[in-house]
Amino acid sequence: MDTAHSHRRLTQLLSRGSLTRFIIVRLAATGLLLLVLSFVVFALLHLTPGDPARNLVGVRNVTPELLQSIRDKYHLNDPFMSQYLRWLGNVLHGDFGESIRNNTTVTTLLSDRVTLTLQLAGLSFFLTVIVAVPLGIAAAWRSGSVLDRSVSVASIVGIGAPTYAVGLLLLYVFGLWLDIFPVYGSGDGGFDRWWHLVLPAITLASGLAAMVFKLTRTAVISELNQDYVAFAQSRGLTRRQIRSLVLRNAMIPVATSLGLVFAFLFGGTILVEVTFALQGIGSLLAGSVTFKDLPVVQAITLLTATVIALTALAVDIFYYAVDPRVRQRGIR
Amino acid sequence: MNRGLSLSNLVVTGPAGLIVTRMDLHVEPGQTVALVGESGSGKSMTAKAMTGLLPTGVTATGNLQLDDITVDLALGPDALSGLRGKHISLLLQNPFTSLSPVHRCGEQITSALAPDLRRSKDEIRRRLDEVDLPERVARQYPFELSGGMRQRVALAASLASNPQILIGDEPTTALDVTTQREMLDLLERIQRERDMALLLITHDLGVARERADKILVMYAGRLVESGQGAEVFARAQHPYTAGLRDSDPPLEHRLVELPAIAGSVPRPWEVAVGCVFAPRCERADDQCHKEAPELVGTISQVACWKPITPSDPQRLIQIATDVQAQNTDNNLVVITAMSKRFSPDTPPALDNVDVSIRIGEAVGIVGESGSGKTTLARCLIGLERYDSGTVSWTTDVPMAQRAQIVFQDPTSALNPAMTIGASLAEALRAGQRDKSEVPSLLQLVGLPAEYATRRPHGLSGGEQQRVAIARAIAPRPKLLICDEPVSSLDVSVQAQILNLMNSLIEELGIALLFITHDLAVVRQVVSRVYVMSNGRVVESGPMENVLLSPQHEYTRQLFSSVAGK
Amino acid sequence: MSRRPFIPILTGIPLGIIAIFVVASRWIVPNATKQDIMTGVTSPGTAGHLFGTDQLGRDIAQLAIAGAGSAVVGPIVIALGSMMIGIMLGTLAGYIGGWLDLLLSKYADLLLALPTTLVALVVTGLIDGGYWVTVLVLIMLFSPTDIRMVRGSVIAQTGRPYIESAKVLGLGRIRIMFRHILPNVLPVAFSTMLLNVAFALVSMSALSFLGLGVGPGVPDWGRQLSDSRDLLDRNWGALVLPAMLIIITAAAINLLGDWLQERFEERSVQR
Repeated sequence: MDTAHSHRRLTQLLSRGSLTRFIIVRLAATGLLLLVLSFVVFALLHLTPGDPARNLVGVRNVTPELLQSIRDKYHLNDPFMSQYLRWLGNVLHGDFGESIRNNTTVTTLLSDRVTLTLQLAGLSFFLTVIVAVPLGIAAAWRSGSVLDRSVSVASIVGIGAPTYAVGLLLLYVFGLWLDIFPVYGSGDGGFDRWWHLVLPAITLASGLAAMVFKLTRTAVISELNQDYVAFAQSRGLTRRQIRSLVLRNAMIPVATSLGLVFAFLFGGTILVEVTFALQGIGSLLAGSVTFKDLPVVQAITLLTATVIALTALAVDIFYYAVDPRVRQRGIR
Repeated sequence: MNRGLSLSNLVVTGPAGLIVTRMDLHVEPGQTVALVGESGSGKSMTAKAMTGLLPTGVTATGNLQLDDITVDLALGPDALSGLRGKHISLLLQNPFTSLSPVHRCGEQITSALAPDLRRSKDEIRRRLDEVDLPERVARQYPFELSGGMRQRVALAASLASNPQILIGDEPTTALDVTTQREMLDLLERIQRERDMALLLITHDLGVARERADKILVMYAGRLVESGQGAEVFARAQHPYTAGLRDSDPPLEHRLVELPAIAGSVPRPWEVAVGCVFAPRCERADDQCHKEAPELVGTISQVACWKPITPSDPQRLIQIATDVQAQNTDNNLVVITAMSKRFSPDTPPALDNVDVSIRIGEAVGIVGESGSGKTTLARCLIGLERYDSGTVSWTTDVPMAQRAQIVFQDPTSALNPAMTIGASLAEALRAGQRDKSEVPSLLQLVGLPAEYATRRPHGLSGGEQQRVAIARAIAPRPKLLICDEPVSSLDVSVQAQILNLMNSLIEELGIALLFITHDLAVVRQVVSRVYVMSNGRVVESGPMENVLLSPQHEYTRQLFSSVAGK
Repeated sequence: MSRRPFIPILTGIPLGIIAIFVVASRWIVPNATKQDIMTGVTSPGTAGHLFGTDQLGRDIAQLAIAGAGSAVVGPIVIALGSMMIGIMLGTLAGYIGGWLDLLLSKYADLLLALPTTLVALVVTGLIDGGYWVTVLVLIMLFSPTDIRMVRGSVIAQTGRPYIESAKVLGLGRIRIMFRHILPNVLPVAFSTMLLNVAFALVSMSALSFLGLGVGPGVPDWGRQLSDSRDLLDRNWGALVLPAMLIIITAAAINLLGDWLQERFEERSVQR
């Protein structure tokens, strides 16, 4: 009864909808999630079939002395929990260890490639939003029209089409055949870089845009069918006013969909980078996995999870700012 | 110069066929006209056609004239855009969905005005004042307000551009009885102050009787009768109007049997030839079945080949003597001091409630929403847990045979994936009876035996509720609990179901716990009543006594709020 | 608004053809993997090879027909397996709730915190067990979404009066779950399962594109696409055929699944 009582007090305290309290609670939940994930990621080393020490050595020649030195270096003979905590401590300082494939630190490897991936992801996201959201709204507004039906069917095809297949096709048509865009590589800085990223970004954006279009259209149609729209019309509000009413309401589910899409972005960059031979984090991951370069795999996985979790948090804060009903309820 | 609103030759067509045929109406400035009808009558569609808000796939033709402006409805919804808001305005039924949830009330009220007025605090205050709302409402969001307050905000919003006529589509149906009266009084006052006409669409005959200068009765998409105020019902000429009037349960006395109209309301497009009411009409003859009658008359009009005249014999209505209260030692179940709280920071749902039901007795619980009446029933039957108190039964049969329940919404009361026969068989088995009783069970509730092979979704609301009742009585429970069993049904169907319940109680000797907010309905069924408010029982006693001399303030307020009876 | 009924026909034809490929490839193209190093790469249309040949002299078209099985069978198993788990656990979680529900929700949250492709990549890469191990891994990865979906549907049904009436009749929990709730959840589950097949198809071929999953030498669309990268300048058919096959199959399944979902929604709204 006592824990129940203090639990009730805690929720009462927290439910006074202030923004800081809201953020703190969400941050705590996110932190917990990441902690558990980090544990799983760390355990990958031990879950992989085979002796951890041998896996860390890779394809180099193994001698008993080498294995022993690896075991000492990575403290593989220590109890599991202390290994984990040591690893976690390092991670929080930005030290992910050394790559097995190359003899550099994981951090260096990542920092060389992260810009490219960010540029690619950013361009794709930008393209997705400026194409899919307005189209989704337009299709919903003119629901049932030729525009609506044709784009809807196209979007279903778009969602299903695998990124790499589309990428390769685009690469062939626009890169080799028509020779407009460069075929491989990431170009040399500045405008050339962006030019190299156009095809990959379009590839990535095609799948995402289809998803965002569908979700936006559904959200707006759902709002248009609400009573308050009919009521607004009956009062003589202009089309423009009604559109702003609807969009303000639809913004909420659309924002969720954008957040959701973000997760798909990460899966897609892996494929696109491999297809177009771009030196980004995605292709690094693909290569590292086949090569069983565990430290790199661990690092990328954990970083991806963190970014996604933070995005989810950002979406929740956005809800809070934008939906007064959430503000009243406080914590979700 | 013409004055007022005239609608002529309205025809509304939907994907399935005709929805409204040849509808004419006229509203004088400042007048209140009630458009009365059951579901499928087309009254809502008429309102939507008049404001150009028909759903996609539905079109209208006809003429709308307001003062000197004439609009040809065939031109589509845009033709009416000049009238919407500024001349004709609409108030919807559901206050919970009429307003945008993410905008503040103040800005929603003035959104129809010119930009400079929109943000004017004085303007907003003035309009809130007109509907008796405090200034703070301007900054609040709709979800922070009660249903009644939200409806006032919606009212203020619809009045923003100072229309000459306001169309209210069931504007008070979703509100509590006491709030309803306040709302209607408010509307009346505003009408007077603005010299505004009101077209009131309602299924509530009492409201129409009390408030309307003129009443129009619609049935299956057609206007069947119209006339001056309460006269339309008192001296009904059309058999449907008379039937509707008779099946509306009275408050003053209890009837042995409520006169009901047999059958159910057809869809407007299902009627092929002849008078639309003929299939259900006792007076129908060959002509009625072959030819559709036209509307005739001047002040009062009726569309009927055989209208009722004053010389026709009055329908005999038998008034029942109220059942005497039984002696107290025949209890079936006694609830003592039941309390329940859903969460620590909300008021209690149930607060020390005492209720007793005797064997074979019909007991009613009346109250508005939030009174706890539904919670009480759910706790009694085991769907909810209560915090404290006792429930003692004087029988020890298994729980399934002690009490069963019938819910408000008939459409989700049955498993859509099972046939009716299977659902009933399952219920019979739960009461240790054999499934061979299914046909007699159907007969008991007045349904043909063939229905056993059908699925719920093809049935009308009244039929579905009959099946729900059949399923509830299948295990022959000692107590049948009904939670608002007729609130979702049309008045004419309601009467059928109430008669059914009365006959079942008599035939099977089961006890009945009837929960409702509708006083007239409960009057017809129970011998004893409890009145609940905010989780407490405020009054109880024999039905007639409580009705004629209510002791508690709340009870008095409740009874006096009922319209037109 | 329901789409015209020609969608089942439009999607049925390509799917039917693919189905024939899957079942009868052994008889249609028995020599698909036969290598002919002498011929090497040829462009489409040469010497009876409609889409040319690859570096090992294998006919692209024949290889693609043979690859239909690997592309489709695994995903069907994945979708079926995932939905079965989803129904079993989702119904329990939704109806009984309690700690089981909490546990499953947390498990789902954890798994969904990372993009499916990434997790699939990491796990299959590290375990490296071949086609069927990959199928198993994907079943595990897809099941949280199905569990969530079924759970949501079950919860929606549980609140409805007919379920409460069943409880009041004293019917046992198991009977209510199987006789009342499940039959009303299954239609939506089925259309979702179809959409899952498409998603699994794309995922599995993506993995084989990256070099995981399927073993070398086994005909597989993803592997074919990956191999075609080196041939682009000499034989564009090596890219176009498998790519179009994947896109059309996935699109057809998606269109069909979407159409089914709309029809089921309409039916439940009518009530």
